[in-house]
Amino acid sequence: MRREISLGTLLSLLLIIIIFFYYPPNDDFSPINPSWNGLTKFASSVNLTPVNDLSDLRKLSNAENYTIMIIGPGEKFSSEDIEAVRDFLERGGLLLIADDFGTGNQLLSGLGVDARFYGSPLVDPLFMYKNRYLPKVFIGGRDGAYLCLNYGTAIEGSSLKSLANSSSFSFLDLNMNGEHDPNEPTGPLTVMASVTSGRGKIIIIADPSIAINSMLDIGGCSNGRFLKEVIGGRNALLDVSHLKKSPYTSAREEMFYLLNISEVRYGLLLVLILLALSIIRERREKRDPLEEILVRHPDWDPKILNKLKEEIEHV
Amino acid sequence: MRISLLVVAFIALASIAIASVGAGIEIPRHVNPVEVSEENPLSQSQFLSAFYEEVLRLTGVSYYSNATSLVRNSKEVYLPSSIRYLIERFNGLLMQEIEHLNLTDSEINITLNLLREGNFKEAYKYLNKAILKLNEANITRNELLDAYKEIRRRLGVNIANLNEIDLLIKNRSLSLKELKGKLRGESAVPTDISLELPKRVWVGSQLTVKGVLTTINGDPIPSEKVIFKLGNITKTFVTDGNGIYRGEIKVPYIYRPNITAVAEYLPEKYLGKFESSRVNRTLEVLYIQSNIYASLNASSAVPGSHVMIRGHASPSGQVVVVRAFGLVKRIRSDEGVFHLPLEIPSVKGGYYDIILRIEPNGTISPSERVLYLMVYRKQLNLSIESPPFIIGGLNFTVKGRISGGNSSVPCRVIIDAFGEERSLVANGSFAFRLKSPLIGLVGPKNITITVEPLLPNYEVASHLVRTYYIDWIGPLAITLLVTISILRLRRERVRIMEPTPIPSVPQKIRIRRSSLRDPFARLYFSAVNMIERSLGMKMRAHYTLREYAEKVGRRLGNASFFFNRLTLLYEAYLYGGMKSGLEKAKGYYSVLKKVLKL
Repeated sequence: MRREISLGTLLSLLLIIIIFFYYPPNDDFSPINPSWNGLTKFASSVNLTPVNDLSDLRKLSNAENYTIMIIGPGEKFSSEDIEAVRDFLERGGLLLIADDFGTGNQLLSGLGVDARFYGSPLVDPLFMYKNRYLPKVFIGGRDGAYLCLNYGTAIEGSSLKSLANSSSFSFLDLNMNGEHDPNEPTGPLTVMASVTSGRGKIIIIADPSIAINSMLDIGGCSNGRFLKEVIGGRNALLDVSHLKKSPYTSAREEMFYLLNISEVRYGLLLVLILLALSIIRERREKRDPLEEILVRHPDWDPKILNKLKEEIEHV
Repeated sequence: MRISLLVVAFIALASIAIASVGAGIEIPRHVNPVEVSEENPLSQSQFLSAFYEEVLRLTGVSYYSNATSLVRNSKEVYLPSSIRYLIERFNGLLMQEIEHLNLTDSEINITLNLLREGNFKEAYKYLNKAILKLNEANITRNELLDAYKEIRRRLGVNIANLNEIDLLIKNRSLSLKELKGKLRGESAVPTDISLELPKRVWVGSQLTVKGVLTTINGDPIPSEKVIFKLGNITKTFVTDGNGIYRGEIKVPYIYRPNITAVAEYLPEKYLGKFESSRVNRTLEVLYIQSNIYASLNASSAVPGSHVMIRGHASPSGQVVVVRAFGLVKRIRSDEGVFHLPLEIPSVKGGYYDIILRIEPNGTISPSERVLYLMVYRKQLNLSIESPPFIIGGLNFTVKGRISGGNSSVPCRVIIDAFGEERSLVANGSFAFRLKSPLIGLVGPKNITITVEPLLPNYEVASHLVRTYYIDWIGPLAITLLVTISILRLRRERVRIMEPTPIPSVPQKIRIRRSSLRDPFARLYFSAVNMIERSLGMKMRAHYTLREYAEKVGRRLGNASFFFNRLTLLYEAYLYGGMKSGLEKAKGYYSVLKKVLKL
């Protein structure tokens, strides 16, 4: 009984490892999530490098050649994180922060930037894709390019250079009823802005969802192309340390972390080999006892032995 | 096995449950655009109405391009495909209408300009074009009204200021009528304008402008504006009762040999009565030309060294501004000669510009000269020795030599191996004694050595060494495992081949313990299980009851007596059918159990 439970647990562990390998996380803005809310398409199109710790930005010798993208942050920024980003900007780096209802304001406030995400959804009942919560924003260009937002918001601030505004028909839906009420701010509202910081620059976008797989080329919008142009020739880095993680992703990461430790990896291998050996041995033991006896006593009559066996089994 | 599968199923279900739990935030950060519901077009009517009212407001104030771009943007207005064609048709007609009105305005403006110039023939031509365009606008307006009725019916759009178009057409029609009246039977009188100016002027000086505006017959034209342009400066003068205009203008600091002055008359008050006229003059501009000559004492230099700039500037006493390597220096050229020592900063190798300039100063013109200096750094020779293989957890040494030509150069040497960075200052040769990590991924590894010379005239050198890292724990564990497995398998084989004594009775049949219903057999095998668990000695399939009792007897010690008795009683029952020994056997079993538990 105990042995069978152990075997079952071990097999489950193996099964979980296989599931973790083949079933990617479905977290919002995850660069390894290939479903509609992930960033795999964007990540492969700009060759994104994930950054697990913002302090790593300090190690970059030529910050001016890099863009750090913080898309849809959901976890709080520590003072070390903020200092690392500030240092990166001082050295000429480019920060692209795209957020709506996350923790982006905490970073902007920490960096001393006079800009904030409103935190209420932006609605446009006219310039939109299918639904008023998916507004379209004109970003200019020779061919009149548009960005498609998906439950985005707007940016407020005084010392900003506005790069894109929503239409004059848009408004902030403070009470989430989908209709414009008298106290709700109306468009044009800033949805993309830039501000200089040190030798670097911050680009603020009021919707992280413009980069998700399902929004890159939707409704004639140029979300993907626009993001590529913002990055330009710089190396693109993506902060994954502040993404909100589901328990599955956390467990998956922990598992991969453990498997990266040689002792664990080899230990698991050892256990599996032992298990395989044990199964082989058990199977050998389960060979017909008559065969075993006949190996040892080839002169005995197999028929008599068989009869004896049957009789004993009928006792 | 069934229990194993149950455990697997339970853990799999738990994993799926965990996987399906998402991070919960009150407002959704996004929705799947494929699954999102379509907007009801009727809910958009008030916004569409406001949108078209804005377009017509812009058209009404002749901001045609803004109105057009707004209509063009309306392709981004989302509408279900079943009614989209209605809006597209309406937009197309609206664009057409705006274009007709725009062209009508353009033709009217051209007609007015031609009328000012007295070109009546051409003015007539453009007037007719304007009339034609306005007629087209009128026709399009009717179609537009039909399309509007349809979008009002289907989408509930209500454009309050649609009559703006009617007003525009009416206004343009009146303007055209007025122009037609002016052109009918009128002819303009040619005019003449004169301009008196000196032939030469100094830069920055005050220039007096004077001239007369008359008809071709010599009659003065009073109170009319004359536009005067000198270079990029424009001034307007008004003629007096004798047709004379006069005024003053400052000559710009342009430091060019010539400047053009133009006086032009464009009728305003007497539009249609007088023709326009124009006169121009070229004036020679006077200024003092500055000159600068300079040279470097060397065409190339290394960082940290000095070069001397020597030169001559005229007129003497001018300040020469020197711009080099991002720095600006000023030097006065006393008696026209200047010397400036320049230290080469620590910059990368390449050609650099040294710009010398005399800034413009009143009547003195600017001048500039560019000198080129090649900055170079000497190359360091670097040779590295490192082991081809590195075993995990052991020390290894990376050695090297640095030389700059024939001499040794003090340098800071930085080594980056296995994610660890170390540095030292070396003069000629260096050695790093490092320890490799105990565990890690087996495979080729890079070790980077960067040499930063402490003298500015040498180039930074970098060297990449490839070595092979072996993590000994992994291979050792696998080797041990394989060895143990082989040894165990071999021992098994030897045991099978051992000769065993032939028993008198063939009692070697194994009974399946799991299917025991017989109480005697169950009792015996409970005892066997107990011994197996206690001693770890399994009852193999080919053992007879006695063989097993013998095997375990030595290790059971005193307890072997009870097990032997139990075995004999079971044998008697199994082969002799003696059931009476069961109670005795139970007694032996309970004693055995107590002894083994102790």
